[in-house]
Amino acid sequence: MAELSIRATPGPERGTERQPVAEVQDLHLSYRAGGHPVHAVQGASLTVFDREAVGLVGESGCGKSSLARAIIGLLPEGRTVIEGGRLVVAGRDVTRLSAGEWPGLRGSPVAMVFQDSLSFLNPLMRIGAQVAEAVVRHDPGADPTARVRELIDLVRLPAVAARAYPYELSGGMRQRVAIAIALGCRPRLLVADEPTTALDVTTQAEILKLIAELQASQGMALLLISHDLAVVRALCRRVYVMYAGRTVEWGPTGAVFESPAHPYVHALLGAARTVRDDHGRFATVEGEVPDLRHRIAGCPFAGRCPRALAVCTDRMPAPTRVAGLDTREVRCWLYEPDAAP
Amino acid sequence: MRRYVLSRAAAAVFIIAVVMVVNFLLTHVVPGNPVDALVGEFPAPPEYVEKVKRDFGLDRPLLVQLWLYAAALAQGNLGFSFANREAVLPLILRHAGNTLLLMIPALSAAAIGGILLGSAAARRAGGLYDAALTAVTLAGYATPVFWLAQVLIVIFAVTLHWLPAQGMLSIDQGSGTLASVVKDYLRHLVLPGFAIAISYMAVVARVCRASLLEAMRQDFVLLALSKGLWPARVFWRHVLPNALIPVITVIGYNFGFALTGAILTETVFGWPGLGYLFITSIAKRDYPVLEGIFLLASVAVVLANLLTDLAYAAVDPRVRRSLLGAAA
Amino acid sequence: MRVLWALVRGPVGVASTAFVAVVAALAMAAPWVSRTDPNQITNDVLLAPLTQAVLGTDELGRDVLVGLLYGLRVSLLVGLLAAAFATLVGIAIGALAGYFGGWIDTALMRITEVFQVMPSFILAAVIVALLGPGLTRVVMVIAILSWPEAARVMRGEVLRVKQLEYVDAVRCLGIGELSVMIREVIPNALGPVLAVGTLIIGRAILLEASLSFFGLSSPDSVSWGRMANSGQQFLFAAWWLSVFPGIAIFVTVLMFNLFGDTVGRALNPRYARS
Repeated sequence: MAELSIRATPGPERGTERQPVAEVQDLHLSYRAGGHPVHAVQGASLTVFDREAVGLVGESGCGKSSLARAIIGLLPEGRTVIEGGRLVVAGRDVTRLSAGEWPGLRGSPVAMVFQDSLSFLNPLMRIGAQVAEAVVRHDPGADPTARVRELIDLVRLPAVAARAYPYELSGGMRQRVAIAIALGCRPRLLVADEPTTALDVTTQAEILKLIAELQASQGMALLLISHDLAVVRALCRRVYVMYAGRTVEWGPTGAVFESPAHPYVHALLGAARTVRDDHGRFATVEGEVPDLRHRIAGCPFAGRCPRALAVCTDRMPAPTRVAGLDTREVRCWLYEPDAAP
Repeated sequence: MRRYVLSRAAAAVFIIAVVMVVNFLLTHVVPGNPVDALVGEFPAPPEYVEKVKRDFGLDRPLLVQLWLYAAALAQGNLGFSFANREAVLPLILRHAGNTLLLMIPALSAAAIGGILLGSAAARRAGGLYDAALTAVTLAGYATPVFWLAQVLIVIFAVTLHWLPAQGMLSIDQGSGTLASVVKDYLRHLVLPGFAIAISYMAVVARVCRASLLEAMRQDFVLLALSKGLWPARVFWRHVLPNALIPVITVIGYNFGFALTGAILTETVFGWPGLGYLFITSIAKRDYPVLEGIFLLASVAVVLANLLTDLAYAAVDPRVRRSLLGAAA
Repeated sequence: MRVLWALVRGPVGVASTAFVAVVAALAMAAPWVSRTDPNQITNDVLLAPLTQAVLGTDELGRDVLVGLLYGLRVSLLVGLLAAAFATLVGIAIGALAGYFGGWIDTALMRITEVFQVMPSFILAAVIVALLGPGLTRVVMVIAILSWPEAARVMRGEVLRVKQLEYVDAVRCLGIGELSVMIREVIPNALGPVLAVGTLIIGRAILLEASLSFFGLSSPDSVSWGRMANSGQQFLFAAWWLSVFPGIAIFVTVLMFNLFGDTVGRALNPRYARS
């Protein structure tokens, strides 16, 4: 992606004792859909620290959106079962949090930007009013009108946009509104779920640039979810790769993308590189994604993996460090020191 | 917005004009001669018949007649009813007033009741309550309203003696106090009002339930929740306004159906409104009254549709964009 | 045909289809089912139900049950004929409007709007009052008032179907527009329209009942509405004269409506009544 010249934002200083703003530990969750439960997440872990930008990538259906919604407590009520693992937001264990307690955590410390703002904005309310709702909720001391004007300005929208209705704005402008709303909540962590996927290429670049700058200037953490590797590479210092409901490899973005450890990530990047004019959209990897209606005991990639071992279909390995760095880990039997070939 | 209002108003005027022409054509379809249609078969003095012939130019070409007819209408001349010894327009308007005294309370109660029932059903989606609502709506579509009226009379007036069976006011109310008159009116209102209201209420409830469920599933609900708003606020400020749009349109566009129901119900209950006038005029072959009622009812429906269009546009900003000819 | 199988799936489908079939058979076979003449005046006046006559007799000693049977013929006849005409007209107008668009569409839709605005019962009553009663007249009037709904649905479907690619493919073969419309588009747009057509049957039956209740239908045939009307004066003394005809109307219309829903679902799995 040649035009995108955003430098990844600097992360927090190394070596300081820092609390993660959001932590997911080995989460397992499933949806009840008709007769069969769908096991959307079967063992995902991730950590986001204050003021850092983390990416979460994977194909459609790998569970990344479910993970994002879990962090903000927006999983479909009544149909979701958290089967295992832990979820910690701003130091608080929210794994078994009741529906009544979640509103206190949404917006601040965690705010979310969704994919396609036309359907995500109330068509009957003016933009300014929708931003004001966030302000009034999270910024009780502030003058709403002034603050709304400030936020609209911050996302580089003209002041008149406040009087507009959602249908009157373009896709890019609506995403800016979504960002303004999220900022109005004064979040510690901004979760952006495919924020630019519905936009054209030029607008994508603008919005990403905006997100990057705001993240730095507002001192927020960012969890950027995308199936577009180039986007994540441009903005995020660290990245997690998910496949079939599990996080399979994670570490500093540059390192993971330059020399991927997990065969799936390797295949993914190989596929991406063969498509020159597209910017990193996934082409195809051989084989098919496993059926999430069944729990898979071993590694879900085993069926498609060119380097699969016998043990791969039996069980999933624990995370191992790559190249001796504690910032880079992978879940693959190839890297387990005592795995039988 | 103004353009939308003007275009809808223009469409309404056009439709009313066409209805007028239809009305005009009706009078010329009568097998006898058009005089009968204009005068009725009630014996009328020959001078009046001659006057009608001249005024409406019955010996002139059709277009001229149409023009004269339209001119007469514009002056409020709908003819004269010999059966009632009164000019048609004031006669109809007087009875229309009584019909409104029946319809307005009944439909208001039905609309409000329907919204409440629909909201309750949406909250308990899939349960017994919901199934019952669906059953009642289906029944409502199938019930002949005059029969429902008869059944109500049989049960509540004849058997239980709770409520009066006929009329709008009791005969001996001439000298009563305002309070007692109102009370008497209300007692008479219950059964016919219920007959009209029930299927209207069922339709409103059904649509309200469906649109609430639809609105609750919308994406903007997620975003509103993600701001940390409490569910109650999300419901009242985001879900309900969006859900009410189809409800408003169904309330408004079913006015014609409600009007017909009111007219039929009135005859069974002897309520002195348009329905009563209509039926007695059929028996007396008082055609000008029948045509007058037809015209008035059509105009009322057109106006109700226009009001609904405007209300819809007032609530939903997206509609104001699509101006002309979108309605189809 | 798989469509027929779809009709009998689910309790509602089975019940309504069975009802429609039985009722149609009864109507056709009425004179053989009951030997009694519905207009037969006897001396058994105003008998209560479940005494000698199953549903009672009226003030002229006529049997109510037999009356219901013969009234069924009229209701079904009017309902089916009117709905058939209305659907045919609706298909024609809706297809033309939807397929050709432009000013044809606008003009036809304005006409449709006019017909939808005029209150059906009132207009029907006025026309019948002016022209005199008669079954054919009633059928025509009801048909004229019911076609707008069929036209709208047809137009919507045609709009949808004509976008499909295979229509363009056929056009490329050089076939004339009218031919394309008739041979390709219309057959594929028919599903929902036929469902609406069956719903119109119910509405037509109700309209006929209302008209005959006010003495505006054919005076020589037995009709449920007329029976209910004659029962009006006996509301206090002989409730069965009004209640049973009403029940007959109610059940028949309800079953036809449910049948309409079933047909709609059978012809198009996506279609569900809101």
